[in-house]
Amino acid sequence: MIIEELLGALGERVTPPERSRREFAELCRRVDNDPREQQRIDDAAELIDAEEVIYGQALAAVDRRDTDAAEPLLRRAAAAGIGEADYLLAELLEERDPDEAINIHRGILAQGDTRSAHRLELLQASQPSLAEPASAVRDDPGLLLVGETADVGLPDLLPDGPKGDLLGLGEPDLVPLDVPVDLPDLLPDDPAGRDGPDALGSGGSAAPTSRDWMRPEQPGRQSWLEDPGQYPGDWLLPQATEGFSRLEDPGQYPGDPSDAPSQPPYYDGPASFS
Amino acid sequence: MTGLAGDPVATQTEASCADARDAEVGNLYVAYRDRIHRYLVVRGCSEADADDIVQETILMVRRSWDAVRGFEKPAAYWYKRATQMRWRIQGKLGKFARDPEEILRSIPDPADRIEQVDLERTLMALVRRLPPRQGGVLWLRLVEGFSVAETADILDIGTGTVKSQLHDARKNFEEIARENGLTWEGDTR
Repeated sequence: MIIEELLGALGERVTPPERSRREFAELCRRVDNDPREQQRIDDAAELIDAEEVIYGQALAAVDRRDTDAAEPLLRRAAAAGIGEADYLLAELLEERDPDEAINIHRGILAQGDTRSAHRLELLQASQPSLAEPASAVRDDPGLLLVGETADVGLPDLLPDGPKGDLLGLGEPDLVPLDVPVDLPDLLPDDPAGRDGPDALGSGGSAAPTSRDWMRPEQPGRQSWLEDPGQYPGDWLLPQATEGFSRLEDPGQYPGDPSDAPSQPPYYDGPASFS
Repeated sequence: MTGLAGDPVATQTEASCADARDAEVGNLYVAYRDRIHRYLVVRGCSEADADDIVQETILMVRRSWDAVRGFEKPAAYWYKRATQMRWRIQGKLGKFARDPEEILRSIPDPADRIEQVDLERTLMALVRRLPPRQGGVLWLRLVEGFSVAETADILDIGTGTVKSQLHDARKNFEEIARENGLTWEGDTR
């Protein structure tokens, strides 16, 4: 094959041998005379050796189908970029965690291992809810040819609008600030029926509305967001019977009697499911 | 036994062993320094990173020379170490965002015949445009001439993976070469 002949013609040495020898001698002298440099080389070599051992153990675990042992080993080997650890990890995760498997396969495919394209197709066929089809990844020249920097001729997916906006929807009409706008009523009613001035039992200076229970800034009112221990549903937790959050009120752990209200907010007694 | 303090014979033996080792590793360095440097550049390293990796990994080879000298191809061990160190420095895709200017400079004018251009520089730039794994396999197999098994060992992958990636790499490389106006004898398309 002529391409092989072309490539095979490469690789001839260009640096004069004497210069290479001097360079090597200098390298040896530097490392022999500097214990720290020696230690650095030793550490790097030992680290790589250790990673190879981990990869070997991972392969052995995969061979004996010990997936529980294989997964953490493959993760470490994949993080170190060894061999096919990432591909093996993705295969192993296909049943355990399809989302992560898909992510890993996509990364592998971007590096040119087209086996992952097939695995992605299978995965996405079995998990139709998961992301884009594998063909979208496989056919993306920017992924397959990572080094591609020339114009790859991306298709125009979005038409130009009349004002140059991508979606062609034109500029939105801006509303002047002084014009009253009739906004739709988006906030839900108080689900617990606590609307009204006595909803939190404290009242306010302004006439209460049905949304007051959501407004923490009102003076004299307590907000669930500002009052640890009074979050919605907090009273369901055992420690909430003392009325304090363990995380946000140090020193007042459950059992601390100081200032503990006798009942959590909105506590209407034990729930009855009968 | 070597390294006995104050034993002149042991010290002399140790020194001569070290000399012999350094002579052998030095020969390896002279023979493969530029090749490994080029391999690293093709795999996306900058010239400076490639220099660093070449120098650090030859010291690792020297450190393990007692075991490595018995290998059929000690150079394969050096390539393996260089591959591993490259990943440590660059990460998965790492610095593969190559300088577009560098690539453009390397691409010949379509009007040129292949004999007229700087063949090596051009081919290296084209191989660098392959996906990283395919580029590595293509270079080790077709340029460096390692066997399938040796390539698999250097890259820590299976022989089947080497074959499939070489197949994809060759196809993609020919396509890239044609796109960039390279012509050669025997190209039937």
